[in-house]
Amino acid sequence: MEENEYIIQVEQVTKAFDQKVVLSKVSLNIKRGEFVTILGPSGCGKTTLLRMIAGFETPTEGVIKLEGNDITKIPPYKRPMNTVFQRYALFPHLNVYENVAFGLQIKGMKEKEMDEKIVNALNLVGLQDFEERNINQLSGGQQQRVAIARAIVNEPKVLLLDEPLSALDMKLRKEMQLELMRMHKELGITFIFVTHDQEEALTMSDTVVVMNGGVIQQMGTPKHIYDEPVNTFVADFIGESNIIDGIMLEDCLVKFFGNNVKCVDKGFAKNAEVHVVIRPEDVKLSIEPSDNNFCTGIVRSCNFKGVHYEMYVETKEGYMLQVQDYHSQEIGQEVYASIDPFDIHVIEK
Amino acid sequence: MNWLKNLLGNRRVWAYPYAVFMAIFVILPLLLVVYFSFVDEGGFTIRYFQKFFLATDSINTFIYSIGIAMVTTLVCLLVGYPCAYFMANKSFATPKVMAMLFILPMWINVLLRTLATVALFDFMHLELDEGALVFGMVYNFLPFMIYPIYNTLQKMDPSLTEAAKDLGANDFRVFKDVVLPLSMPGVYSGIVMVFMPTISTFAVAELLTMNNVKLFGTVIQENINAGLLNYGSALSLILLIIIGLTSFFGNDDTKN
Repeated sequence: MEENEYIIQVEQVTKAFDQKVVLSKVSLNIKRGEFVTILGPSGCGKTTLLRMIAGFETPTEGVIKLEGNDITKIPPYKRPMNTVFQRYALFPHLNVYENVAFGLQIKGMKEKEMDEKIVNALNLVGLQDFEERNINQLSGGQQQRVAIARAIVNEPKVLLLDEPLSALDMKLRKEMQLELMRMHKELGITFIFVTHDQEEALTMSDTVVVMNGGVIQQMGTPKHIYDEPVNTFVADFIGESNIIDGIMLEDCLVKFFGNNVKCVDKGFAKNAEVHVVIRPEDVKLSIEPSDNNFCTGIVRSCNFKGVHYEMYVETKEGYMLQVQDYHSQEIGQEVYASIDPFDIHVIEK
Repeated sequence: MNWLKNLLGNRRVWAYPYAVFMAIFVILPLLLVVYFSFVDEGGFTIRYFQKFFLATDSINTFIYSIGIAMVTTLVCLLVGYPCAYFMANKSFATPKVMAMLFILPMWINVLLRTLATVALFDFMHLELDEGALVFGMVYNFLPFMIYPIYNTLQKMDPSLTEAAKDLGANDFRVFKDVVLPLSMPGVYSGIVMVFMPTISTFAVAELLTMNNVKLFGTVIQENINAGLLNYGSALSLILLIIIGLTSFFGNDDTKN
């Protein structure tokens, strides 16, 4: 039974193209019905990982399992998964209906049953009455929806999405994010979504897998990954961070910028060198000193960003501290920065 | 000198030499062909066309020529498509391979190649008949079939075949349902590019069959050589119309 909790298991998978290793010993378990996002900068191996799950690439080493069965060498057309491609890959010689029907026709489904399923799928993606349209008459967003309909109409066990929203403009992208989350809920199938957009990953997923350099850096819920990044790469890639060198004096006490600051992190060696991660939105600035200031500095820039102001404060040590606040400060003003102990996150060096 | 500067600065001017060449050597002869088909010493006439449609002999040659051209085109397609498909696989299509397939045959003059084919058939004691004719024409025109097909296949987005596989199509279905229909524009232009020159060929046919097989091109040449300028012109015009129609067929389909 334990085996069956996971729909996809990637075990110690390595992939090399002509000696160049793009993925090394990646292991990943994906639960049934989960919305998993594989997040990372371009070239981190995330698309290769997805293509191996889909069957377009074969791992150099390692095993991929579907519901406990080894599918490493099974060709893509025999896998009960479907892919939404980055550039949609719709068949230009077929209309919307024929594109969506492609997979069902291969299965030899009866006309009537097929009709019903296609209409349902097109309804689900919000393209009623688009059946007879040609692909090149559709906008990017509509093509995207056809690509999704073409995949989900086959009722795959897993839906793979390869940066499907990257070609859309900001507004449409947000809209599609919500739509995809709705579809995930309605269909109840497992979604594996690849993206380089951290905001997209945090918004949509149950689980985020952060990758860099062909290695999984961290895996967890969006909140966990945002609040407790395991290393400076994750801290920097997910949201914005100030990463400051510090020394862990004892449990719950870290020294940085020459001040001893209370925190909630424990279990480091005495006087261990560490990275202190501080999110810009957690810093509070004041023109009056107080007991729990962790540094002072001079405001060097202040820009309005819509909801908040983004400020850079230069400390005495020459560090440019990024701060986000609803209240602005004068440029050139000396300010005192403070932070709550549980907003400080300490990472091993 | 300013007028010269202006003249050379205008891009359209650079096309004039070609336009003049076209006018003298293509348009004018075409107009002459039309003129001589309809006008003789006695003024306007359609009797040369009547003569063609009444002479079973020339109609038979005409149909036979079309048949030979169709067979040649079909063989080119059957041989050329797999070759283009193979080459569109990126790992084989290095510049060297492309040069060998398309440039190297051009190094040798068509007539020389044809004569060499005759010598080859002689050497192997093969008969110089229709088979030799089709072989020689396929040999000459195959690159014109391969290239346009290769071109469309090579430009095809590889994610389309992946998408088809992803939707459950095995290699055969991927080819039948995606690759083949999407390569049809290339097939049409290949057909036009082979069919048009083969239907009007004559020198190659004469050499390869020792004049045993007579094609329509040969008939035209014989008539004109024999001084029957009007009848020859009418036959040329009929052939031109057929060629013109095939190129329309090609145009219509590449638009889609």
